[in-house]
Amino acid sequence: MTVHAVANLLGLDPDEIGLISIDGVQSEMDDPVPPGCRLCFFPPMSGG
Amino acid sequence: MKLLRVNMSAHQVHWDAVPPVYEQLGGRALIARLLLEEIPPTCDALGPNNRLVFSPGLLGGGGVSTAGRLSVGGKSPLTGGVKETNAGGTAGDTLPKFGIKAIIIEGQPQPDEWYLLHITADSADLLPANDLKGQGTYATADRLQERYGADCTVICIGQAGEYLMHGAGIAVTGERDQRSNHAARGGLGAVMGSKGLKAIIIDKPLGKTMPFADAELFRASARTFAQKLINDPKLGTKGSQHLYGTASIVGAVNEIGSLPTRNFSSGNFEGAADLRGEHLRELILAREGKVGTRCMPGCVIACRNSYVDDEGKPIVGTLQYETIALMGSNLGLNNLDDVAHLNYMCNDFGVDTIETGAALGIALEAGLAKFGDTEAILALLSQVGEGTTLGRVIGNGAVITGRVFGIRRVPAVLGQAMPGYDPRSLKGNGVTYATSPQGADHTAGNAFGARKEVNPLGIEGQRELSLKLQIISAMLDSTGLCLFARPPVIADPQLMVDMINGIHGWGWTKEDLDRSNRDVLRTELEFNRRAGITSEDHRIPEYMRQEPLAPHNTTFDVPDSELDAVFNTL
Repeated sequence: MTVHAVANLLGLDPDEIGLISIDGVQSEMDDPVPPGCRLCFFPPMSGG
Repeated sequence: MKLLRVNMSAHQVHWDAVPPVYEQLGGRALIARLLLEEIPPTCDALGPNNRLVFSPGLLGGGGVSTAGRLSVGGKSPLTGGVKETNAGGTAGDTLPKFGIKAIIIEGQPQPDEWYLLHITADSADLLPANDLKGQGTYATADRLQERYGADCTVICIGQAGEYLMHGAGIAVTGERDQRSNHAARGGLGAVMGSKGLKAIIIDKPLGKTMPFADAELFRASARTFAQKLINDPKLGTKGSQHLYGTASIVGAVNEIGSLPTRNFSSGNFEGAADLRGEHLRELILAREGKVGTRCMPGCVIACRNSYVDDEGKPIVGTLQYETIALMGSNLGLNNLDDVAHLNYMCNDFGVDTIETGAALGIALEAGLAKFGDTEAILALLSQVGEGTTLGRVIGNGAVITGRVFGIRRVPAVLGQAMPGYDPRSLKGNGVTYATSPQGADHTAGNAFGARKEVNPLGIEGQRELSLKLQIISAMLDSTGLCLFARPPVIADPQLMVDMINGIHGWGWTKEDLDRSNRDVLRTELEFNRRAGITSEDHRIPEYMRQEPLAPHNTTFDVPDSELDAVFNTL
């Protein structure tokens, strides 16, 4: 299963996803989601 | 436009025409060129030969949303090189309306003589200010606004600048009673103190407007720019920047393992949830404080807040990410009230929260107090304002504090403390720290959030990414634009070109803009070269190359050869 698929299952709007991490590693929508991992979605943001 | 030159040795002010070499420059670009042209690069940063420059950006005064930042520059006592740091408030919008391209402070008065500079629509006067000696920035601004009017702009230093502390910054007031805008980095508050200049007062420019070379082009492009900011998912009224301010990134930076924790000994803080922007917002709204306010006239992003205590009494405005990182997790504190109090004290003394937070982290590692011990940390910071021996050590920044207490783990590059991104897990920022002529400064090229281009934990592509970001930052800092306003002008540089041409009528192309941005970096690098700074002075501290950072257990492993090649394609 990819990050994109999980986002779909959760009903998240892809436009409202800015940063994704899997077990603390920044990831992308097409990355696979390993079983038992910690997956985080953050809104679009920029550092400052 | 004209230059206002203030000679502190002779107590004289005079107006100069803008020479051609400075004509198409503003903000950081003007500062870089002026320092290279006018001061000996090897001069003492706190001596009479350094100059302190205040310059709005090329878009300042025109009413462009988010473009009212004031650049302050000079040779930095911290880095020994060129420094530009900028602040919101009303000065960057006001000075161009008076036709002032830059204020240049030169020379040095006799010791312990203090002055203020009062600028009106048609005059500038240097006046005695010994009565303000020893005052913090809040009291200084209050007293001067009582004297000169509540709607004037006050630029001032606190006790730290008077003590010539290398961590001192410069405060700038904003609309109405707004405080807490700081040109904080690089110790330029000490340079202002070395000039005996306690404050600058700028009258409100009643009835004054900027002339436009092509008003129609300007209005159309400025309107499009503002609309694109509003439409941006990060920046509009539903965007995280507006809702949660810069603190919106606390959770994400912690999650990716880059949040400075206990003197940069970990990238994860167990109390980060209590420091997150979401919690900050909930707390402020529950206490009837303010969120979504602005630091500059006309800003549509409005990421500022006014942090209040549990009785609704203002503590500080605005509480921002860098302060939360350096004075929260970096000190083992997870209570926003504590961080807000520390922030207020730093603002009042006039010290940089990044430099001082890093210095305090080192002091805690040295055993002066325990991480997380709020009362002890407040007591340590109080000494900065009191000017005790210990306070002067901490107020002089991370490197001095490390040296005095024999701590080797000092998170600094080129003498300047690192901001809130550990370079071992955000290596693009490490490349910026290690190569920018500005030293360890996230605003010089922040790679946070650029995952689509480059893996933050990897080496590949970091060099190119950092250079790209450094060029963009040079543009923002030279036009007076806030860092957060970059998306529309990165996507469409012609928009920036049109706004500049609309005001100035220079007929610039996108290529001219790109050349101008790159020239900023070339000029700064040349100044630093002449000041004797080498690439060896820029290296990331050795311990960060040796000690893995939790949770990813990574070191900063970008080879020196990669760092030294960053500007090969400038």
